[in-house]
Amino acid sequence: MELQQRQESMRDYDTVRRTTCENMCETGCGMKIFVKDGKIVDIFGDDEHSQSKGSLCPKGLASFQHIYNPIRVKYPMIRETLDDKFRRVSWDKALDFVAERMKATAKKYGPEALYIHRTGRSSMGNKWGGARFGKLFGTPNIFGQGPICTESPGIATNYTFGAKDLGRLMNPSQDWVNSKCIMIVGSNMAACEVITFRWVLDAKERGAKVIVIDPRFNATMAKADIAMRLRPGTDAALTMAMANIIIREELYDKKFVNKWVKGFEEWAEECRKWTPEKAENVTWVPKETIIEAARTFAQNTPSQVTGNLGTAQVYNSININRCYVGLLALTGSIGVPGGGWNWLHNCRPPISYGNPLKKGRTYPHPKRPPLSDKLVPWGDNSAGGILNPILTGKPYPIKGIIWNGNLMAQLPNVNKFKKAMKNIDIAVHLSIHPNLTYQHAHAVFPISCWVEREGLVHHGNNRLMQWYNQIIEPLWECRADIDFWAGLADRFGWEEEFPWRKEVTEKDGSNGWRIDKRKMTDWFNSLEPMTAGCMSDVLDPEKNPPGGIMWPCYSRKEAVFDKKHNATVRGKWIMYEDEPYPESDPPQRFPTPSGKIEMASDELKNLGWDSVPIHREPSETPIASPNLYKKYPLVLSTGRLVAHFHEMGHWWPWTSEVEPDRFIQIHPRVAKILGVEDGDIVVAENDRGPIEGPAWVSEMVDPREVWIPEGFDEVQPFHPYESVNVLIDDIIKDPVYNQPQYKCALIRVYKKGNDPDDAAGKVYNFIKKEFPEYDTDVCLGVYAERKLTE
Amino acid sequence: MEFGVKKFELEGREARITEPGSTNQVAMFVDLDRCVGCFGCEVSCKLEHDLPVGPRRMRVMQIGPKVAGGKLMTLYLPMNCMHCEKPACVEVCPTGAMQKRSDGIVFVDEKICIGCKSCIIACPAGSPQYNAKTGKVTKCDYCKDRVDAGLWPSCATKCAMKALSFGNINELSTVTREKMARKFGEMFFAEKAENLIKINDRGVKK
Repeated sequence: MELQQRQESMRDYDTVRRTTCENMCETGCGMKIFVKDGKIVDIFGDDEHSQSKGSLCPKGLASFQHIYNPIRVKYPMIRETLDDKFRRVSWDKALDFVAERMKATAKKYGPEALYIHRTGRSSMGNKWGGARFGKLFGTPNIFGQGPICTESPGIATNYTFGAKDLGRLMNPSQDWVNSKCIMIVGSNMAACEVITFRWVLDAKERGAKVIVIDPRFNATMAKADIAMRLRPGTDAALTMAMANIIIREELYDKKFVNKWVKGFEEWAEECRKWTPEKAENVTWVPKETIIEAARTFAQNTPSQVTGNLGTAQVYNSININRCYVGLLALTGSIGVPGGGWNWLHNCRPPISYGNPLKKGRTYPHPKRPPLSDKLVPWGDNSAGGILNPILTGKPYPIKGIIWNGNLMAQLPNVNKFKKAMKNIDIAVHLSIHPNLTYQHAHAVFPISCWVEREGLVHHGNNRLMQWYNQIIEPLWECRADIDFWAGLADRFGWEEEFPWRKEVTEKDGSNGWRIDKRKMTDWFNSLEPMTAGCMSDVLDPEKNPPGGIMWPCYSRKEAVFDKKHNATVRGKWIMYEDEPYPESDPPQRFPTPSGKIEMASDELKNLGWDSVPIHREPSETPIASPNLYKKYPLVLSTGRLVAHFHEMGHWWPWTSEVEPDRFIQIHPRVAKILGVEDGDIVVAENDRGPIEGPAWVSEMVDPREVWIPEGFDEVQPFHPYESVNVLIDDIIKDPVYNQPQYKCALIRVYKKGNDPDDAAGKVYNFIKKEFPEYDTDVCLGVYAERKLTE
Repeated sequence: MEFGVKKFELEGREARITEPGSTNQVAMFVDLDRCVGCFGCEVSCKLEHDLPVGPRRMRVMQIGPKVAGGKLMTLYLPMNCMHCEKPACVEVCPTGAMQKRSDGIVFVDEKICIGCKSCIIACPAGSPQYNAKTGKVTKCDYCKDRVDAGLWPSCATKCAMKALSFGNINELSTVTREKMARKFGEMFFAEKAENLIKINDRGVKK
């Protein structure tokens, strides 16, 4: 008998439902859920899903424990002050409490004092609902996940390729097998987007070269042909050195560059300054590797670049991303199968909160500007900038917060944030787990998980929109987050603005309502032409082929498979082919002012940023902050683990077991100097605070570097640790889009109980002795050598 | 590094040479080029067998990175059970709970197991695990209920990287052979294409 790889459960079940993994990462895998008497008994992958082909990662599998988790937040609760105990109330009572406090706050401090933050892991209903409510309320401080996550690559490509909003993604991962060279930068894709990484391995088996650029020798790098372990934040220097070689050796596609690239000569001039020797000194990558990578990338076409947060969460983010565009443009691999700029994550179409529906109503115009100092006048506001106003009341105070997820642990400078939270009059948390953010709230609402509601899987990789179906009745008193926003709107007299209601019978038999997610989604999606064809029934994997639709999709008629490319997902398969870009006016392939890929951007110059991308040294680095470096001689970089996504995973036994610790990863040579053995408790600290954790002594990191995973907080049930973001500064940001610099900071590490100054001194002397002096002839960022107590 | 591969190749050869009649031997194949250590197999095993924290029938080990040939290398190795030809766990089991089936699967009958843990001590590969919830030993049995229903084990079915595959020991060489053939094919076509370009463009590639 031939044994089969079939997604079939051995458990007793009566129904199999098809849905999509909603929001554990951006891959959006197909799921088959096995149900018995209305209870989920097993989870498998969906083998008919073009992207995931029946596989699931540990998060998708362990989400089985997420659903019926006894430590989930089950009921709405309120308290007068943060020192009181929570008391359980009904949804209506809790909403009344919130509305009353918000009215009082707005009366005293103005509506601008309300800060709304919708995280990336929340549902699309929360994003639409929160923005719409905030607009009605009159606050400009409606924040999104974008600038704290990885939206700056989208901003950078907006100015180079000219797409509307965040038009960054070109070729879907299913197409990557046509690539001859894949360059992965700033992303541990093998851990963070496991299923997507499979397409890289498939390409590799078909002969593609894989180049990985990251500060750590991680799982992705373990599969690379060429691994480049660089100093965090120096991608631009590395890329320009590669471009220098490609241009010098005339390995680039001259025809493409002449026809389609503006500012090539100016950028080439800048690149010439970056000899492989200089780049080795600044970036830590050996010059031989830089030369080999440059030749490999240019000679194995079509080549493509993909990447993620590592290029976003640093000071020079916009230039770094434009440099990668430059490298790709040199190969001409744009708009062809196997090519493209295929960034992961947060790839959403322009979203609209819609105008008011009631006749004669307009959104009030906020009297004060949003709390943000980014140069780009559009896009989300970055939460990095909210902390000081809360703490100091300047330029104006923030007194109310509505947020979700675990932002207290995810935002930079956690200890400072804890202090600031004492100034808040009303903090509302839309909760899944009683995490650190929950502990700092006055009112909490239990939010349903993805099998208890239906909705849009909204910012998948590959410009993908998908649908997830409701499988079971909501547990306890959980409701979708959009039901919170609509309920709150009712208390301000804005019922008509959230009209998509359906009647339900509550568990106590009374009549109630919930938002009809299909009606709501269709209404919002039809507001944006690019998603007007992504209607809920077209997306539904139980009604149509699973895998969703790749926007832009302007009508139902366009929701079909692109036959030319043998597409396995409906919608637009490849962007920027040699044809006019959708909605471009005048019609042109690259909808920039010049109609070309702009390596020299007048628009960015007018905003006050570099016209041509160059390397700008991030703040808090050995080069930018030599005095601080003597005190804190190690470079910190942070990232995510495979079994967790922010708070998700840490609250489930299975995923906590496989990756329990918020370790502090140091190189064996540094460990020897510090007298630290693998597993010893060490302290990592800078002026912003100390954190403790077990040392993982490993050659994954450079001797000059420390790596610590994010997503932990000290109230998590199984392995409580403080968040690594205690060490991250809230002021240092990318000036153009205000991405906080999560990926780069200076710290010192010592064995718990030992003298910190002594340990730091030893490490500093070791680095001085063993490694060359840095070339200081580089451009510095504006935050260089600032006082960190500001 | 080749430990997993060699083991299976060796077992395969042995099966073919020493037991010509025995063609139903099943085994799991690990493609070490594809495993990224995502722990998906560990969690799918927990889900399939409803296991608490503690016993890990499947476990992914990371070895390295170590410098080899001037380069850093890391190996991710999923380790469940070797399903040995002469299993030490079966030999030491006092009750006969630990058994080997004719298709090669070594499993524990939890109804008979008294939880004495002898097998845990005897096993050279650390496969049998103690389940404090049941007070019995639990170990990888290749999801024998699934195998009996004609299905792959849960971990291989759900493997994110398609690194795990399962089947008759002699069929498994096909997986390696196919992969090798694909590589040769790519090289062959690339060479042909290169020549064509050279001929067409008279030696000018771009």
